[in-house]
Amino acid sequence: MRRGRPGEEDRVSGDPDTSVDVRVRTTAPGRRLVTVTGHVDLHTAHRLADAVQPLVDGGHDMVLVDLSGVTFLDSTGLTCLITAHRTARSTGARLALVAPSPPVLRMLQITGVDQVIPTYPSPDAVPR
Amino acid sequence: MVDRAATALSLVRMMQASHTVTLEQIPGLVAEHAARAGLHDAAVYVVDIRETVLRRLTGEGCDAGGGGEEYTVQGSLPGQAYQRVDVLAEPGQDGTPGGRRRWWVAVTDGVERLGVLRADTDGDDEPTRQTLRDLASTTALLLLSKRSFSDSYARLVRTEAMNVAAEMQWNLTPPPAYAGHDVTVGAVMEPAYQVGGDAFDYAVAGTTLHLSIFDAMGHDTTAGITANVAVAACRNARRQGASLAETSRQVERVLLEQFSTTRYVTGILADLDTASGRLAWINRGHHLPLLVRDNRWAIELVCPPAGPMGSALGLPVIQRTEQLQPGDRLLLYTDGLVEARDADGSEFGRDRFVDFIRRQHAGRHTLHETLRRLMAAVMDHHAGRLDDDATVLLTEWRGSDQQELTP
Repeated sequence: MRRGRPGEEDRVSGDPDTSVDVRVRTTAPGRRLVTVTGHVDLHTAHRLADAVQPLVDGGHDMVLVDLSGVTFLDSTGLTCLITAHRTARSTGARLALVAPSPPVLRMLQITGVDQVIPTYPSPDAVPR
Repeated sequence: MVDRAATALSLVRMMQASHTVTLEQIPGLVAEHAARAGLHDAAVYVVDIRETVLRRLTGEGCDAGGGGEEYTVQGSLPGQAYQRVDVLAEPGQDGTPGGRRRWWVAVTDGVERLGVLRADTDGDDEPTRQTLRDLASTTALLLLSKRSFSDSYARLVRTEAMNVAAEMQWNLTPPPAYAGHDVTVGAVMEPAYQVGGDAFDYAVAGTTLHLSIFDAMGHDTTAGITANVAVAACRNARRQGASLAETSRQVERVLLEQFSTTRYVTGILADLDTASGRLAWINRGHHLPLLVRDNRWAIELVCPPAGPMGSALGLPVIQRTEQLQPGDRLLLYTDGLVEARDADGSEFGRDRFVDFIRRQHAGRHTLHETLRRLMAAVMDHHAGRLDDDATVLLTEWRGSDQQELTP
């Protein structure tokens, strides 16, 4: 599957095409919203995992991952989501994806991951 | 003039003598026996793995090609003979000693194109052409019987350094071309020297042609190891008679044992009954197979994804079936093919991929020449360097409508 171009690591922080921005905020008690923006690949996927994994590990009731601003998601990024899903299943946390962008949605649909991780069009559409 | 009976005997003697020679001795062996059949100054050229150049096998040096010239596949007469799987004469008779005619003949084992053969003859009648074909066909068998344990051959057919994953993948996959009575299979894999986790497989058992394509996540040596484990597990299960669904579940089990859930492999596993044209397939989180019918439209062969093998999503594995029509072309491919981007970021795309297959087919190219041209176009689109592995496994089912596949 996709590999990074040489020198990509150097550009992760600077180049908007290949960098990722991950933000976590609490939208309600026991409800966290992780907003991911940019390019999620071999070099940047750890940022997604670093943000999401502690939340699903730590018994928060609901973890929403907003993927509307993700321009590219490779197999490493998808593995982060699958791992988070598996963890959530064992800890009792709830994981949901919000508004995946077209390339992300395509990846979720091709692999069948959309059938196991619930997906909603907006944070408000996620049942309490 | 050639003597067909003397030729036949000479070629048999060549086969017998070949049992105890190495690859390096093939050029001498071929030239000697060809001369007895009236084919003079015979020389053998082999094609590189990317099918861009034809290099003379001289038997000299560490790559057995020392001091030998090479021709490009694109834009040379030997290249023409190779592309068209044909017997071509050089125009005029001035260039060769004794005013002989110089010939270029594609060397194939029936489907896989290994290179070209050069020889000079006194005549240019049909028996001469037939003798050239016979020699090329026999030479193909000699090359096939020696290349699998020849480092010289491996060196001669490479134009770049290879990574370890690619070294594994080229040994893992079956030959890139196969033809049976009712079916032809061809495959291409790029970047040929830096493959990561892509692999394809096919195998015949009775009238069943098994076809599979795999894409292991990542692009490192571990991706190559993952793909190897997946293909081996697939072969192991199916050779024990497992169904497609069971086979894929067995692959998943083996991957989970080896890598926990850190590595997964997407893939399509299919069985084609070459007698009836009935195709069965399952989808492990991969791009759906495409069917090109009547050379006019492409149908996506829908099948719900059961999740990548090794991801343990626990989705049901559903098998779908389709009745093929004679002439149908089945395409299994990986994402690198359609997602190859040019300098402006525009993808090569599925439509262009299908168009290419249709257009080339209409142009009467063989299936393997179509694939060679497709990969050249994809590489060109991406300025010679792919971000991702791109693999195509193309199968044509003809029913009983077999094409001629030797020169």
